[in-house]
Order: sequence, then C-alpha cells, then structure tokens
Amino acid sequence: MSFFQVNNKCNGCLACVQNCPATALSYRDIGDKRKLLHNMTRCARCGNCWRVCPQDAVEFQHLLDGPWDDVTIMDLVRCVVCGEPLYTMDFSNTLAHKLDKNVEDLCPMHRKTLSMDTWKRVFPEKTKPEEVKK
Amino acid sequence: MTSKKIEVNPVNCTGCMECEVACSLKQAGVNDSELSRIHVLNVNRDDDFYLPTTCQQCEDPPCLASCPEEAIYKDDELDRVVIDSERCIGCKMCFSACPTGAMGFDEAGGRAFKCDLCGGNPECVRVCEPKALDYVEPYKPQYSRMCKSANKFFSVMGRKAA
Amino acid sequence: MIVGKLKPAEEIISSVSEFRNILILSCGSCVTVCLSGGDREARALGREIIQDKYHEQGPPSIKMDTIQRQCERDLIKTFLEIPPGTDAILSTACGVGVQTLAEVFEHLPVIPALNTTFLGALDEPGVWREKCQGCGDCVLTQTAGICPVSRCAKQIFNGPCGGSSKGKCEIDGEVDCAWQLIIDRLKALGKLDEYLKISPPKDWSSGRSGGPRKTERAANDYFR
Repeated sequence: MSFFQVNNKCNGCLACVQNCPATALSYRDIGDKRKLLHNMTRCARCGNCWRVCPQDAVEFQHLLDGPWDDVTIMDLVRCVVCGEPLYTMDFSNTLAHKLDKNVEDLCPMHRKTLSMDTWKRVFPEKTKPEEVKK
Repeated sequence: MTSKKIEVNPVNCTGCMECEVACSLKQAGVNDSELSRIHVLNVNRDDDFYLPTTCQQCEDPPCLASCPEEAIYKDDELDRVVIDSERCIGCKMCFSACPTGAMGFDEAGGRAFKCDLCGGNPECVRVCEPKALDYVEPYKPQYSRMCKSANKFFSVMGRKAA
Repeated sequence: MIVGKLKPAEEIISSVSEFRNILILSCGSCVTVCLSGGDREARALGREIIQDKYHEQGPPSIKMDTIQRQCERDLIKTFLEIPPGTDAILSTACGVGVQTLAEVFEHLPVIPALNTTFLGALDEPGVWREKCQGCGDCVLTQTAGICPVSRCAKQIFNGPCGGSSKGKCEIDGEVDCAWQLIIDRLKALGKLDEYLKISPPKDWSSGRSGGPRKTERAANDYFR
C-alpha cells in the first residue's frame, strides 16, 4: 500500500512528476500501460504534487495520516505466574549471555513475592510486633 | 564514605505505605506508588505480615552487568548502585535482570529507576513511624547473606527450611 | 523552515572553476520544500554548470547525490559515499549542511551553491517570507502570533513607528506593517488591552547578539 494515493480523477498527465522537488515521483510507460511511481524515502511531504495537480486527484491525507506497518514479529516470554509480558526470547538470550546465567521468567511483582516467601521462612512466628522476641 | 544500607525489619511494618508515598513524592514529585522505589508487600491478606522491599544495593549488581550503555555504576562514597538516567536508553535489560524485582521502569519517561538511598538521607526511613526501616551500617555477616539471597533465591530457601 | 536561494550561476561556476570532478549534493529537507536546493534544483544546476560557454578547457565532470538531512553528521558519515576522484563537493543545502559536510570531509573543499537567508514560510505560491529570527525569547503571546522581531523592519516593540502608513511599512509599499497586523489580530482576539501593556527593552543576549548559541537537551527531561 503506497502512502501516495490518487483517486480516479487522475488522468496520468504527470504534472506531479514534473513538479516534485525531491524527485520522489516517477513513471514508467510499458506496453499499453503507464505506471505512476512514488518513493517514500525521497518524499519530503511538501505538498507540491497536491497543489499542482490540475485534476485534484492527489489524496494527500494518506501522506499525513496512515496505518502502522508490521516491522517484525518475535517470540514473547511471559511471567510464569501471572502471564504479564516480560521480554522476547532474543532479549532473554542477550541477558543470559551478559549475566552468564539464566533469569527466571517472572515479572518484578512475582520476583518480589518470591523474596517474601524467603522472609516468611526466616520469621515464621511473626504476626504482631509485640509478639516477636528480640 | 559510608556503607549504610536500608535495614528492613518486617516485624514492625504495619503496612501503612507511608514509605511509598514519601519516596514517590521525593523522587518523582508525585504521590504515585508506581514511581516509588520501595514497595510494601502484603500478598497474603489473612496475616499481618508486611514486607517492605527495595533495592539490595548488590555488591555485584546484575543490573550493572546487564546494561548495554554502562549507565549503571557503583558509587563508593555511599556504597550504592546508581543509574545515570541521561545514559539510560530504556531497554529494560536491568529491569529484567534484577532478581528481586527492585528495578522500576517509568513508561512515561522511558527510563529505568531504582532506589539510590536518597543520596544518603533515605526519605522512607525518615517517615517510617513504626521503625520498620532504618539506615544503618550493616552487620556484615548478615548483609552478605542478604546479598547472596538476592542472587540465589533457591539456595537460601534450601538452607532456611523452617 | 530554512529558506534560501541559489546563488547566481556565474558566481557558483566561478567558485568551482578550479575543480574537475564535482559532486553536487542536495538536501531532502527544508531546501527541497522551499524549492531552493533539493534534488531538482541540484540537477538543474548540474545541467547549467556543464555548458561549454563557461569553460575554456571543457566542463568538469559532475556527479549528483542527495542526502535527506545534510545537517546530520553521523548519517552522512555512515550513508554517504563520495565517488572516488571527487575533488570538490558543491552543496545546495543551507549553511548548516555545508558546514556539516565540511566537518565530515575535511580533505575536500565544500562549496555552497545556496545563499541561506531566513526562517520563513510559504505565504502564497512561490513566495516565502521571513517569519522568525531565532531571537531566543519568543514574544508571540503578547503580539497575537505576529513577530515584531522578524516582521518589523525596525524590530521595535510597543507599537508602530511614524513611518507606518495605511498598514504598510515605509521601506516598501508591499511590506505589511507588522504592528498594524498585530493590532488587527489583537482586536480580533478581543485582547487589545495587551497592546496597552508596555514591553521593557528586549534582552537581546538570547539572540545572535550574544554570540553563537548552543542548545542542550537530555533525552527525557523536557524542561531542563
């Protein structure tokens, strides 16, 4: 899907191509077809094409407001207790490499509560402050 | 040059959460426990056990080791582990590396944060009425055990079976 | 945006007359949008330079390239390739781009083809006007969004001078008196009482008068 879109009023006059200051528009005539081309990496979104088009065919809004493109999809690791998303597999591998050991797949909350369990074993009798003997 | 640490005495903790309020106010300017560097755990609400938890200021911090930008360093003056937030790029390596879940992450600013002992005058200790928190020179043998437990949960639990 | 205008062809050609393998580098940002030094203008410049009439011993060899932002040093270092044998770069970017290239390619002469002029905007097709002088202490709140520093010929505050006539500046019958515009806009906003407030003499040290300036920003600390 191109960011540069024209509606059916476009008649292929190529005024947009002639007037693009970034040379971001081009065309190819092959056989019995004329193809209009746009290069987003050159486009400065200056709007000249939209201004100059005699047919009012350039749908410039698509250059200003558009959809999100998928970039990459990776394997996600979640907290084994609550399912909160933690990091990707690749991230986990990078971390393990840096620390020279594997980390537990736990969210910070559940890492904290693991230390809670440890503490409760250290102070098994504790309920109220007065009841603890120094 | 001091090596004082925040000493947690959970027997005294009443779960009032003043430490969280005070910390987030001092460090982040707002009363928001998401931005507090200290958290009180009271997972089992059927008992009175409250556990304030915060950064253990590890001797050999996994957060420091994991940081790709070398944004985490040890401050020998106060014997603490500090993040240089200007170098932090928000990659969450340290957040994922901390074995006690003590590293915080500010989604709005995109940076990690942690307890830095308030530069030597910890606010949480100051406001803790029941004296569950103190800022003291650690009793070294105990401290080194605490440090090890931060890195090796399961070996500590094995030794301390009730 | 930064606005500029290509130097006269003769001046450009004379400034590169000693070079035989020229790379013309345009910029894809401001100068493209204000039709001064983008890819198209650079190509037109290339076509002009190689004309025999300018050269006794034949025209130089010209190569062309564009970099999207000629002021970004690391982008240039990483992504721009200079053809071997190039003995000069002719840049159609603004002065910032030219200087950045000169920093990166210390061993190559970098010649500007553009006169960089002002910060401005497109008022009508083909006409850009100066709107901002980067004075560093913006007063647009008090002047209803019209700048007396850039749009008043005398850069005065506190109302028009005696030369303002029928809403036009005395320097040129076509230039609007900025203060007339300000008063009209304040009236429309119902804020004419702002006009009655006297502005103290401007502290120009935040502008160019204080010397070359620098801005530093920590990535996530917006107000420091």
